[in-house]
Amino acid sequence: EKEVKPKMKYKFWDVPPIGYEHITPMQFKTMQGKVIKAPVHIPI
Amino acid sequence: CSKVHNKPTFSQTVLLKNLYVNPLSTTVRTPEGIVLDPNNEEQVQKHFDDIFEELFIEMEAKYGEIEEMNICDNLSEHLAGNTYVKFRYEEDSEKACQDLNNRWFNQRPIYAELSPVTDFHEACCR
Repeated sequence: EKEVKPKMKYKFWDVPPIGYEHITPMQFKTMQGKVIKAPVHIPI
Repeated sequence: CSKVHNKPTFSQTVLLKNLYVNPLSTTVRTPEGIVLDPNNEEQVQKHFDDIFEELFIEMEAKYGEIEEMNICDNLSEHLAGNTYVKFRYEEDSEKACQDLNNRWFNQRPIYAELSPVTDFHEACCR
């Protein structure tokens, strides 16, 4: 008979950053993109 | 990276950009809240192994058979923590790429894209 292994309990998968549990990773990335892009347009 | 990298439409390999955070480059805390000591090789290796194992088990179970997986632990900015997962079938890597872009790993969003790299021994930045 095939031995059934218990499912591994994950420590890393699907753990959001603290304070961002209510948004999706896609939304988070869009927000990050805006933050990173912002300083590029500072006039010299 | 300043080099022009082509992003293929189909590939067996998915690149997860900067996924692994190297304790030698920044302060890293384990899920248990322990700050890793970069001089403690055993501790750093265990953390790396735990990440590798979780990644491999979940991706093979959810997306399909994996032929090879490599995590870069070098510190150069454009490769830092890059993780290359070569699936047996292109359709699995495509499915994985789409789904992984909407998942968290270790409190960070995953940035997944298809990669032209298939032979990791010959791979270099062109």
